[in-house]
Amino acid sequence: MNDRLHRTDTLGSCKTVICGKQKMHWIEFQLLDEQGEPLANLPYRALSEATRSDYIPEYRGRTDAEGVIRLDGLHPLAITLLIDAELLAELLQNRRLRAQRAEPERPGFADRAPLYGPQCSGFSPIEQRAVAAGHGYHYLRIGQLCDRLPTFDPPLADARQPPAYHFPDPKFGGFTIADDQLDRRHVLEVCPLRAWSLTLHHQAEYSLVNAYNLALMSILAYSTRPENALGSVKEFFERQCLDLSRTPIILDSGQKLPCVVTDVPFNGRYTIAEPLDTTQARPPEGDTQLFYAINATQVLVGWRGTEVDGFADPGTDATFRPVKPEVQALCEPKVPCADLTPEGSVHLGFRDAFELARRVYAKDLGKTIPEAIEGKGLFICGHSLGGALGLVHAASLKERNPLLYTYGMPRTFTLKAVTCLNEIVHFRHVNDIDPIPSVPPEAELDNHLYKLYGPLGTTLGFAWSMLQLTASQLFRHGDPFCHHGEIAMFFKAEQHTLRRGSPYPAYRNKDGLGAPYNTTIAYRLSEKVKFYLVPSLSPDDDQQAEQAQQRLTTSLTAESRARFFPPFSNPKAGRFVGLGNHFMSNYQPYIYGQLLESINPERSPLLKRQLDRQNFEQQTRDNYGSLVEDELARNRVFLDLQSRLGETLRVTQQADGGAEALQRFDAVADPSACYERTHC
Amino acid sequence: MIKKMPIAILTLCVSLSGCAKDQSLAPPPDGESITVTVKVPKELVAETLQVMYRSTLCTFTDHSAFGEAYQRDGYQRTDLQLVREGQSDRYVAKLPIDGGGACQWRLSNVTFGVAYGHPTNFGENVTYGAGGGVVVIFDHNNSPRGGADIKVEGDLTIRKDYYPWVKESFLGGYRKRVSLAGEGDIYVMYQALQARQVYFEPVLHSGFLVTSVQPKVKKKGNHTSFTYPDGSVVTDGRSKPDFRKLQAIRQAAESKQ
Repeated sequence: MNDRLHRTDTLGSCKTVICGKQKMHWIEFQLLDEQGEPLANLPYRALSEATRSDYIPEYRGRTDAEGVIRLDGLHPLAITLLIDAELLAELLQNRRLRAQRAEPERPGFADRAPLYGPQCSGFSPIEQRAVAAGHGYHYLRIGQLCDRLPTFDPPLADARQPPAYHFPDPKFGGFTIADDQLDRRHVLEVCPLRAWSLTLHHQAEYSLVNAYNLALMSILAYSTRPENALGSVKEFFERQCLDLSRTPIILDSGQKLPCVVTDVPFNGRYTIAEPLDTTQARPPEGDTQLFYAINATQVLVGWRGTEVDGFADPGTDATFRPVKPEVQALCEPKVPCADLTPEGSVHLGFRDAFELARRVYAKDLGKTIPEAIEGKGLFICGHSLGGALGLVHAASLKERNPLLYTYGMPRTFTLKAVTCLNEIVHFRHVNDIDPIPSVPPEAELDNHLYKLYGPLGTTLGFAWSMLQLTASQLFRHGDPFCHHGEIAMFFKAEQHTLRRGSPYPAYRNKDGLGAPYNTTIAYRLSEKVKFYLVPSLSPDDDQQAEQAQQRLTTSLTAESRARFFPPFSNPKAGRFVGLGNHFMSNYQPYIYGQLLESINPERSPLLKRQLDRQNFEQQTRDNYGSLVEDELARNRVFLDLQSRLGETLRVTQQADGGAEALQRFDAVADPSACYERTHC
Repeated sequence: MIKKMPIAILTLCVSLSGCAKDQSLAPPPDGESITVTVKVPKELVAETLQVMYRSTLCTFTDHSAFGEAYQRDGYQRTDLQLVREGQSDRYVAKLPIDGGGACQWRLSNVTFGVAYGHPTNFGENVTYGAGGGVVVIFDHNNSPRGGADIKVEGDLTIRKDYYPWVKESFLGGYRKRVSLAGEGDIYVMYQALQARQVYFEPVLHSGFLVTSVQPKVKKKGNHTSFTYPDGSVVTDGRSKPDFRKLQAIRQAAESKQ
């Protein structure tokens, strides 16, 4: 075709042009998942203007064993590829994600950037290989490739609004390559059809990942954000847990806290996520808030804590009156109902708060949750009052094998009742001198208060009992309130040296034994450290402690354990001044720091908490001769206990997808975002 | 002394209530309203309507888990009974959009539904379980049960199929309950920002009973077994009946007739 000029002709209606056969083109698609595994044997259709105008039939076929589709004899037209939705979905549900995600910024307020943009470049190893081989590369989600919405089991809540991450194109138009991109291979990396599930282990042993994730869930229980806003319960489980480009986060007070998550098939996603709020009226007669979320393997319940604002929730926290622990709402007319525990008592305020929730949300707490537990692991968590309600809830479901993690919870049941709840696995976190775990006192206060103050005693007694906290030893008889579960404690430790009051022997004879020379004064050394202690990790319980022999001198024995961690009780007395230790902002950072440390103990630079501990140990060596003996022994034991926490990650690393979950968390977590009071 | 006591109590009351706003609802008589209509099948009864109002004027202080204080819109719940329209099976309630009062309450959401009125028809000691609920949210806030699953424009018409489901449970004490098995969870949740009419028609297929028996011990591999209306028994790890299977069974039976 040498003469490129064609004009309308007055003489002839056409002009003969001599050229060869029309040049035909080819294209190859290779479909891979994120691990580089081919998506083989999938039926496809390919369309262009030529097929749409019925000039040639549609291209049809199946991908080969390498996931490759080759189309020959193409006209120089854009070509659209469509894959059979059902088979593609089935295949992609069972493919794994790569550990590290692209983590694009979430668009902020008034930012028009789409929430799910195209994946940023330079991130995927498959992209590197494709580009190096001279191929085109595209990262696609299933909805950009399938010909319609696949069916799901359980079905979507609203099939007209499928989750936007996986299905960005509501028209299912397929994937189109422009005509100038023909004559080459295009590698299509397809994001597996997965969903995030919190990494949780339903086991009797302590797990750091459980502690971390359930602390975040206890924070989420406080969320009152509207459903579409980032950080609401529904948004977390139904949007963030389906957004595979990012690690889900919990939002509180402007801090974004990443979760440890594992990818599961899309059908195993969280299908039910209900925040429940006993919003009766303002002012609330009793304001109990909880959420529950259910996926294929977990039933997760988070209870919200109380208003800590000067203990302004008199309906619940303040009424320290032990009552028989049956919960009326559990019982239905004419059906025999077992009490929560055969013996002992439960705190009146907590029981009332729980009963209120049971009454208002009878269907959820009485039916949906118990029914969903079959074949799934039940996880319950809560902070403060939420912890107490969580324990009451766990007691009411004790046949269903609940796993409970609480943070700064008050005493809830009396000793007799606690001993009846032995089979419930419960790890109770206490932050140093947080006062809440010390209320109500270990005493049967009821009679005392009632005698002292009459019917108002149970309310007025609250202020009184706070003042009498230290005196609570006086009431160690009857059936006192006490704690349930294994303790996990953040323990601020100091060291003291002993020195003579005066170094001068000349004083020796001045005033006998009272003289400065004969007086020993304990000085506090400057280096402090906060230990993260889980006594149940001590070798007494640990069957597979390899180095138990070597550690014999430094590890916790049954005798020292009973001394440092008295059963049913708190190692340190709570103090009113310690109220600042109570908020989740003083629990979550220690677990966060510990998790980062345990994932990679040889991080460079080391975390502040690690440096502090090194300095602390150095201080021990420097002042070895003059240290207070008991303290020295205790701190050695605690250093050993602290070093055992890393072992609790083993179960996560061995779990399906667990190693990737930790790797992913380590990649998004910011080691400098350290909020620990003692360390930062 | 005796005379002084009431004064002391009065002073206490005044100091407690202070100069706070009157927080009561006072809808203007001629204001705009939303009509909720439920067509109640013979075997069922309409449940009480739970109506929630919100106010941006009357707020209260709440705290995050980290202890940070923030302001939340005030809210208030009132309960309403649906009123039968003559001798028909339609039950109606009118909800004023403007809740009035010093706080200028606005209608925020409503929770309602149908339930079995006489569960003992399914046997002695049978109680009602759950199902057949609807939540409609009229603004951008959460309902007491959280946010909506389905967003609709304009008026809202809901027609849903339900099947009677009798369940025997053993864990945590024996119970036998009859529930309504529908698509989705016990409540279907809608957001309908412009709706003035909400119409709910539950279609109950009484002839298609599904029963289930829960295992007596909780351990791995023990699952509830379901007996479907076509006689098939399925134990596949589900904790509620397969709604699509129920629909298929019914449609097959109906097409034979």
